[in-house]
Amino acid sequence: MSIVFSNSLFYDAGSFTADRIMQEATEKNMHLESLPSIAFFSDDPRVLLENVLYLYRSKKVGLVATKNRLSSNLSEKLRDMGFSVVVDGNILKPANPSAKLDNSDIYILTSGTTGDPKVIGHTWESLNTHKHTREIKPRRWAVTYLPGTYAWFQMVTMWMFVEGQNLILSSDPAPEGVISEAIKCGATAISSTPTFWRYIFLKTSISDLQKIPFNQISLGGEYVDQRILNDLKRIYINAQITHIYASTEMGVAIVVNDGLEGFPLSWVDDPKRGISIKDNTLYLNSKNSSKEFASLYDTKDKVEIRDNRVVIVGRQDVGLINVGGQKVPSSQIEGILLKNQKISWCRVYGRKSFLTNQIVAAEIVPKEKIHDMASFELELVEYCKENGLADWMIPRMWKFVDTIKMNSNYKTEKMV
Amino acid sequence: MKKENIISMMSTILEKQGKKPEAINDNDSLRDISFRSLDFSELCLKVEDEIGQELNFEAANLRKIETVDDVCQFVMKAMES
Repeated sequence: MSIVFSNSLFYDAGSFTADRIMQEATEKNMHLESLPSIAFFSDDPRVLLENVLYLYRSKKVGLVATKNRLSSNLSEKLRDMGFSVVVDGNILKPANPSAKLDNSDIYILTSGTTGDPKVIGHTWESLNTHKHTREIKPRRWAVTYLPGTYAWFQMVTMWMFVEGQNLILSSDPAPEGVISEAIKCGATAISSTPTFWRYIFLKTSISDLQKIPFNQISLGGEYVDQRILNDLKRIYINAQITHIYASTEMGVAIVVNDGLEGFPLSWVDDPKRGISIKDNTLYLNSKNSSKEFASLYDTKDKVEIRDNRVVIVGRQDVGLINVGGQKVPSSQIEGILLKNQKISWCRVYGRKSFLTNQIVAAEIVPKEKIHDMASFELELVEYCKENGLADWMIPRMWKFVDTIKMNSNYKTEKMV
Repeated sequence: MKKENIISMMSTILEKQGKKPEAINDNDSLRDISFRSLDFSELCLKVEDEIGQELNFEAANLRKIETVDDVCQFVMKAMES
């Protein structure tokens, strides 16, 4: 694999070729030449991109992430693993310089939704998933993912290794900032979470969004429901809309381009795809996985089969609501609510209850202003019943809000 | 919070579940008006939201709850403690 030096990066009103960034990165990091493995932390997305190029050129083992990911525990863990930790240029030497890392090139932090972030090793080969794609049209990609995450590396390795792929980084991390930068720099493609779009739909008019000539929209990081696929297709009629199932451990594992939620049932147990289902749980053996997870892997995602499609309904370990001993993933209820055209966005969670352990509660962003909340609540309860939710799964506490909290990677923040 | 407010909340909860009786009286049994544990949970959380503090329940008192009046007394006591 070699870097496509002519690919460009658009950032902070400037445009820079990969060649130029590589040269700058080499000069800036000369003082780090003696360090074999480096974990870089910075809040400047361009600096982190430079660091990636530096790691590649110098064949060092590395990790890059934003400073908000760096806790004292993580710093200690990385230094024990043998990393020098570099925060905005300041170097903390490894606590255990003789520690041997495995044969990975790049280590990536998981989101930490299920506890402390894990450090997962990948190689440039496993990160460059684009080598499996036959033809990739030249594009300008608006980057929405948090630097250092697996999804961000997907964008960055595409930029590094695939001809004609250019990136637009925004110095303003708010979704509006990303979109405004995308407009300014003539973006033609974007990859983001469904939550990113739900937020943007609240803040930006359809006619303004239609002015962005997106011909490729990729979705990932969260469950992708039919509603968001349809909403995007209505705005970007000619765009290819792709949804991707990926995780830091598994890498990109499932890519769907047919505009329908879930994936075809015929893909299950197809030896080329490495997808299995056991006890309604998704298992994957992905060709893009970290070496550590190169066997059939329990994703802990619950699935349902509907109309010859496999649809992911929620996780077994995160967001489970326990009502008197009966358990349901919050995303299963969210999936049903999001099909309602009067709802723009929602978040379902369990509220602590003395009598039943938890009861189901929901935050709802209505599509239009609601004048009679009590009637709307009644309407939603009826809607839930009609859509097959058992009594105990139907939200009891409803809150109508203007927006919902999302995290720095544009995922709807789970309430725990 | 007064007793009539609690009864009004009970009535709203039952209505939302499609089982509102014509009237709710003190001596009505919870079984007769189909006021179940989930309804009771919802009532307690609604009261907590209304008064802005968590209710302090005594588990032993729960066993004695059979009527609408029992619910009201239980909630009012929990608000005091």
